[in-house]
Amino acid sequence: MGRGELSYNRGGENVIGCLVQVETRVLHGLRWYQKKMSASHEFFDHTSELGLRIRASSFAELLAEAARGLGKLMLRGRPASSTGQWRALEVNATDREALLVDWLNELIFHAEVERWIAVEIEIVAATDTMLSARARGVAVDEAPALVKAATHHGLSVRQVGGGGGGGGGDVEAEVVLDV
Amino acid sequence: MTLSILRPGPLVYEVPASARDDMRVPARFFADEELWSQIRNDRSVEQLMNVATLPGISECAYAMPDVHQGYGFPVGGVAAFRISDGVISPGGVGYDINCGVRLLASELTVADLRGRLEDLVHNLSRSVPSGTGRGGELRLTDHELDRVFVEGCKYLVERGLALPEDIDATESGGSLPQADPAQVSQRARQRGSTQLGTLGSGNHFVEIQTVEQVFDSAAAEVLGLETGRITVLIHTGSRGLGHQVCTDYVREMDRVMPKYGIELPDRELACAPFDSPEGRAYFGAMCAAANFAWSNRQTITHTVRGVFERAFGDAGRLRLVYDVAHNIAKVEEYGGEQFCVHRKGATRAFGPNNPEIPEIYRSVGQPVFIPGSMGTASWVLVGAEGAMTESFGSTCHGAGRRMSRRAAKRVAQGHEVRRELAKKGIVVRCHSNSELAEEAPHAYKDVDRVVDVVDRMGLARKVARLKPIGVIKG
Repeated sequence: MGRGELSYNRGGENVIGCLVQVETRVLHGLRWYQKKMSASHEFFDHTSELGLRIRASSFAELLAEAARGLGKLMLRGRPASSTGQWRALEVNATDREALLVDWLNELIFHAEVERWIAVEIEIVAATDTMLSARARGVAVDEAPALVKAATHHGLSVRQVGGGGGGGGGDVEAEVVLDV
Repeated sequence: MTLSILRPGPLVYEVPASARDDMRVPARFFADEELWSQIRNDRSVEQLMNVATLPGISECAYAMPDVHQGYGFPVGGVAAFRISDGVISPGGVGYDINCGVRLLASELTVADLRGRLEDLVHNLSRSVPSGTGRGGELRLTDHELDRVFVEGCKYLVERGLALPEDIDATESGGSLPQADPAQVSQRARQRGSTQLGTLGSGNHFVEIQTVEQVFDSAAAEVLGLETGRITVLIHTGSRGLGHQVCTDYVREMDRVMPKYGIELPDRELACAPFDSPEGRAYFGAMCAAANFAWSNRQTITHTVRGVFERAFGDAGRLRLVYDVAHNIAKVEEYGGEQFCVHRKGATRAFGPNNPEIPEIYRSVGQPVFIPGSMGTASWVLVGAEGAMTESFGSTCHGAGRRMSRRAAKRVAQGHEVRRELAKKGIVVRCHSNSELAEEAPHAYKDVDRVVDVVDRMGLARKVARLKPIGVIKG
């Protein structure tokens, strides 16, 4: 039954209302899962540093995936479950490319100073120059970070695979990390 | 695109300024044939050509024989910008501001360490904190941090962490006077407040060595080095504090460049006129981070001295021979004009009689230390007159990577590297097998060949070759 076909009377209002809520949550979760699955990252070689290539269906999801990639790198691939409270993070920059770099540098700072590595990330809002996110992370005894900074070298964020702003393509980015 | 490469000398390869419309000066590489074949295989050439486009650059953009691809500037790059109309670029110094090396010399010989080397290396690894974000025992208040920023190693004499004679044996006396703590962000302070006296990770290390061979006995005598003696080489920099200063100012310069009409082929070269509010702010912050780095190596020296003296008593005393920076921007004068000389993976190498050199070394030239890769030799050189005329007083800084970290791990795993080093009699302490594999000797160029080029070019002269026997890797 589709949501538009729902009808209810006063006696069944609570039950049907609950069903609607459950369905909404399932759909929301499914969309989130599909987005997450459609996002990917890989590391590429550089003589002295390390490159991170990210691909996602939207710029917002690309930012989230970049953070997941960085988290895995800093945890050296060890499995980790996020704990604790969600925390709000905000970054402003001059353009998309700078926003990606500043976002990663924000996470590097928290990892080193607070011994906290973000692993579960949700983007609340993202434009080309502003990011509002919430994250849950892993507390570590010693900062396991091996990343000094995200750099602007060879930095790119571009539409690929039939994009052009029509929503049909993916967004791909490359960033070099100083390690 | 096929580049036309000129050969102005037997050890010089040059991309002329005419190769690209935006180049202001040639891009000049010092290398022999073998090193050149490695250099042209990564993006060093393109990156040095990009450096040659920066406003106010003088003569050439230079690459030392250990050059390899970096971000923005290649690692091993040197560029001098006129103070009058040139720029300063945080990416031209790098994230590890004032990464550098210092050499300590002892009266001990290999025989004195026989049967005690394992313990010595073990105690050093326990005493010197290592790892990227690892903090040390010192916790600095904001006021104390300000004093480190302004006074550098001189403040550490007061704290009992440096000997008065260490100051003269450190480049610039371990303190650049242009430091401005007000330009260091709160975030940078947070990253630095617990990291004084810590080694960090990557290619940073403390190494116990023996003087294997002396090439210039007169210079070696002046430096107090003798065949068979034990030395200690310390390689690290400004840690998270420097990383954050660079992050802050690359961001700031990237934002303000349009105001100055600067267009770049690579955003990591972000820069501003030296004589601008942003240029002066970065230089003040960079000098503060450089003073922090010298203080960091000095604090580690204090720890290492403690370990040696507990093990060997008075015989274990360690004298600081010298300390050199290899990621830094400094104001220097050449031909009556002032320049901001950027050395990114390059070492100052002033020739004899320069007043910047401590009086005891002035007759032979400034001491220069070239660490090899883990398990291979390191070199002691002295700056030569050729550096003053050919490379803005600069020479190489190490062996130079030739292989990515992942490629290095594909060649050999950490335990195999450890076994190979053990076969050579080298005791290694490293908290991660993975990082050991990343820094394996095969990942680097041949340091002997690199040093041979700068010696033949007259940029620096060979004094002594040091052989590692114990390594504490960051």
